[in-house]
Amino acid sequence: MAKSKKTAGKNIVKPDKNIIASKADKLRDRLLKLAKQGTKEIVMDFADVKSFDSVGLSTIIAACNTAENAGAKFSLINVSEELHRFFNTLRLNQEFEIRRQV
Amino acid sequence: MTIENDETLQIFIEESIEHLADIENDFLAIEEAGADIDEDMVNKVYRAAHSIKGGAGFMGLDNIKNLTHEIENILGKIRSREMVPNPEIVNVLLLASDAVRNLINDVFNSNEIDISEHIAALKSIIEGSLQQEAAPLVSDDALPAEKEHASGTTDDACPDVKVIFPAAKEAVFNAQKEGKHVYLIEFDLIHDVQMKNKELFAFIQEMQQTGIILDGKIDMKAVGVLSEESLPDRLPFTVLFATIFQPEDVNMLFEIEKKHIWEVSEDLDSKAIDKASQNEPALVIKDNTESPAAEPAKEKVSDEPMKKAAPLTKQPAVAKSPVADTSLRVHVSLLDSLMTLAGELVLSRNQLVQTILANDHRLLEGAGQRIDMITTELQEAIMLTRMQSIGNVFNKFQRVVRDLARNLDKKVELEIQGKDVELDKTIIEAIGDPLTHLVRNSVDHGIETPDDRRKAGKKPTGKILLKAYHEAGQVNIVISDDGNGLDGEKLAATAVAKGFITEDQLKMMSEKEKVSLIFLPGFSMAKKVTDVSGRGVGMDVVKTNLDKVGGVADIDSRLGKGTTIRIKLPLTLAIIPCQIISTGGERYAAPQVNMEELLRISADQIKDRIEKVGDAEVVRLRGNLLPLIRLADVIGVERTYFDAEEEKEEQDRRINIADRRSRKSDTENRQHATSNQQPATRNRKDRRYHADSALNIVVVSAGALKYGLEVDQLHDPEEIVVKPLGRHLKNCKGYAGATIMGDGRVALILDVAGIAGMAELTSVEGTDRAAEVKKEKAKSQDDLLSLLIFRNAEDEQFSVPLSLVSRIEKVKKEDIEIVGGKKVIQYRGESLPLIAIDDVANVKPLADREKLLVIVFLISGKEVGLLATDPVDAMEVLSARFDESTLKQTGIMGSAIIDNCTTQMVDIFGLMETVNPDWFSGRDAVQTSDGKMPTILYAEDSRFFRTQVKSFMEDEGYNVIEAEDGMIAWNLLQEHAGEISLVVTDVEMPNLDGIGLARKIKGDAQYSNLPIIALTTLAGEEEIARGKAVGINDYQIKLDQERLLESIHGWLR
Repeated sequence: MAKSKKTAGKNIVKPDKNIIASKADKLRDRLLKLAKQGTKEIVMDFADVKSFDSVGLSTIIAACNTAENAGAKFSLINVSEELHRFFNTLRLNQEFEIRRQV
Repeated sequence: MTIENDETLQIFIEESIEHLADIENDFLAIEEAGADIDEDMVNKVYRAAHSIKGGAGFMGLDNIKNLTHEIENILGKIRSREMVPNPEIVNVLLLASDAVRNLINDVFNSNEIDISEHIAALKSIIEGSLQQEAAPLVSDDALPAEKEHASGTTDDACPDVKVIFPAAKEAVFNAQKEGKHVYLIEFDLIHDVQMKNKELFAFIQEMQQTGIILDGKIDMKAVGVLSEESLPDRLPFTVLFATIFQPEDVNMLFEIEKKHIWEVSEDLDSKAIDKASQNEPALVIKDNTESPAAEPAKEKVSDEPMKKAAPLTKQPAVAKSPVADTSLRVHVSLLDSLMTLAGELVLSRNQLVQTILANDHRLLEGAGQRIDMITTELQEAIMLTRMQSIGNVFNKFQRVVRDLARNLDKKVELEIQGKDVELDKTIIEAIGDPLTHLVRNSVDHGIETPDDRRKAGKKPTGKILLKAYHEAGQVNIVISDDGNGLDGEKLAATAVAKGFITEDQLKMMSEKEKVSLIFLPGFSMAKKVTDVSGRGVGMDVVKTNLDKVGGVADIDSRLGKGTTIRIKLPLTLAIIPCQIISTGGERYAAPQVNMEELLRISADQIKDRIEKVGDAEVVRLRGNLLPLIRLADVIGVERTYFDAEEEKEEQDRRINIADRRSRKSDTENRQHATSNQQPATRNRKDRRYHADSALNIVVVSAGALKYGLEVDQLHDPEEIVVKPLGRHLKNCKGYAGATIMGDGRVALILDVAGIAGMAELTSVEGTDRAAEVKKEKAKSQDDLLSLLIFRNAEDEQFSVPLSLVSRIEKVKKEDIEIVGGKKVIQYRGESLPLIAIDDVANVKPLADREKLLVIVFLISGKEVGLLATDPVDAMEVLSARFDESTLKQTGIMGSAIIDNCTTQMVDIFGLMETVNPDWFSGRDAVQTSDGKMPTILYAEDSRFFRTQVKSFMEDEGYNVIEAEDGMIAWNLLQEHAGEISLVVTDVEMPNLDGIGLARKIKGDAQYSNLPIIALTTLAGEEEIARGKAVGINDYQIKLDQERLLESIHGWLR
């Protein structure tokens, strides 16, 4: 499941290949734990992520909302070209920072 | 409902049937895998269901669409591992897929069939799983009505585009300028996508393919924050979507309810489309009153027209649709090769036409050959197009077995082999039902309940093997189970109780015959009538159906161990090998599948072979009486015979087939008949001695009935193309069809079952005479010896077992050389040693003739010739008739009276041993470890063979314990358990046959290592296979002393 590590004040969560309904629980727990620690910045590393379903997406959005409520910054990094286009289609790039894979 | 044009519908039906065929087995595989799902497998089924749904949606087949949609939903859950495919779920899925199949088979009425039960069952599964993980959601149907959408709009209020998408004005304008409709659609990506088991990515992609997403907005707030209890259950996504689709189609496109779709006007006003279309009936595109578009106000478009239409159409809902059977999928490469062949045929025709015009015989021949070649290839290629793999039939049995086993609380495993074996389409279709019946029988009657199996010391899970394989131009299907087996005695008792056979007949029956009683019409063995089988129709129906396609069924069962049914099927029915026969100057074709053998009974044998039972004439064939039918009488033509001297066809005026000297069995004639048994010295001037007077009999079998068909002439076997009979001939029961012969004339194909019916033929099995003949045969079992009869001196007759003879040569007396006191002859550059019987035995000297015969034997790998004189004949003689003592001497093993002539049986091995003793010294006697000679247990019911075989085994130094039948052998084996190192057994024996003995021996751990050699008079491949299956180590032919001894030697070492 999602791995997380702390680097220079950032909390980076690195979810697995598929963020889907059956796996979303654990990701949610992970993110929730980070939010409660009072982190200033939550970064989701999408390097491994290939796809997600609606529940997975809603979890990401909920994480963003949670972070914002706590005054923390929320962003996605290493998002694949394909997923990046997808986020753009849903206009989510207007809601939080999404950085492409380099 | 809108049915698109036929062709599209046809494709849809075919594809769907194909998908469904796979789905079933895949479901079963999914069930087996359980929680550990095979994603590829689930995806495959998912895609299959999806394709059907897509097609059905396009065709307006709402019921099919709805049902597959629900199936798809569940599969989606399984795929995302939100649901474990337990047997209950799979069961519902299977039932639903059955329902889909029914709908597709009856596609025109599909929208009127009630499927609510299935839908409800499927939905309840979905709900069950939803309640587990997302408690607040009741069902996706109820949901949108209860929940307010994210944008804050209610069902009535129109969302304000300008507020949601302030920057969209220009984009909307541009899209509308291109003639597109612009809609504002509110999705909830969780309910409208996830819950409907769609892929989020695919869903968005679909939108992009069907239109342009002008703008979109995810309602972030509605998603809420992360919470410990649950995952977010809403993900509203509002989108401004431009597309060419009409308002009516948009909701279909995304499967979203109309109330969440608004059409956006030029000035960015939105109005709900369900209301919009109601006001504009002009928008209705299809003028079909049953179209969903015509009922725009109704949200459940699928249900409404269905109810409306139901009373209008009075078609029976179960009306069978032949649609699926009328077309066939063929690989393009095959079509290409057909096309190529057709092209070549055209070229050849041109060539032929030119050659004919040029009148060139040499070229004509070439053209003929070419056309012949192309035709053959064309025939083969076309045959291929009709071939389908038997897997089409086999695949459905996984399901049949599973369902049945569940119903009966049994555990059954079905193993399928040879799915790829191909058969003609017609045959594939015809064997479906009989095979289903057989498989069901295996599960229902064959396999026991797990408890019973445990008690019987078997694994609780029963096993059924379904196997297809090619053999000798036929397809064999084997259905075997390791269940209870059939109780021959019980079957026989039932048959007697039901009056199918008499007690007397019963006594004559072998175990196999008793088991085969199950094929008798109206025979059902089920103790209680289950919904599976036991309805009084059973195996006989199977047999009848198989007979129709020229299949032959054979059953083999052992009580407590299982049943094996073998079916032989022809590869195709369109072109069948036939024997061409003629009667009354007309030619007829008798299908070879029905043919057992051809008999030609020469005039002087008629009195021995043809008998009369009551009024009926019968032919005696190897211990059986077969009823005889004269084809000409049945079909009402005049018999003719071909007079070779005058070279013309003459009317045949013989009235009786049977000779007046033939044996008659009807009581009043018996006395007379017996006194008539005159010595058979033939008067050579008998007018019927002429070869043309011989009777030609085709022995045919139709189902259980076997009879001889007497015809005027037998011609060549030919492959014929079957043409159906015209309708005006449909009442002719005796013919199965017609064909066109090489000379352009028509020949009728005989229907052997029909002919038997026309002749009102009944089996002679039950008659006294049949029993008598049988008894004669039973006495000897298989101990009919095939003998070669020859002479040494003019008046002294000898015989040797035919199986030992490798060939017969004619030689001139002057070619025989005498070298070192031994006779040899140069033959093909080698010298062949010759012996005469009188060299060794005290018999009359060899007749002094210019031309002699040499009967060549192969002994110890060396060829040797036995001098003999004419006439030679081959004959089957009961071994019991041999007297092994009176005339016994070196080189002669016994004698019998054959054709009123004392015939001595030559012991070729004895002769050789006397003349060439060194030939036999090469083999060292095998000794047991303690230095004694090994002991052989020898079971044989015929005294003649017993004495012979025993003596040469003893001569070799072995100790032999003899037994008169298998049962005695078994008892002896137990008495002398330690001593016996090898068993030699006859196959056919009373009480316990060789197979049974072998089975007993191999089944007992104490003896299972004991080698068993079976002796037969003539071993058929099938018999050998049967023997090998029960553990018989080797088969040897009786009286082939050398090979038997070699085999014994080999196994003992």
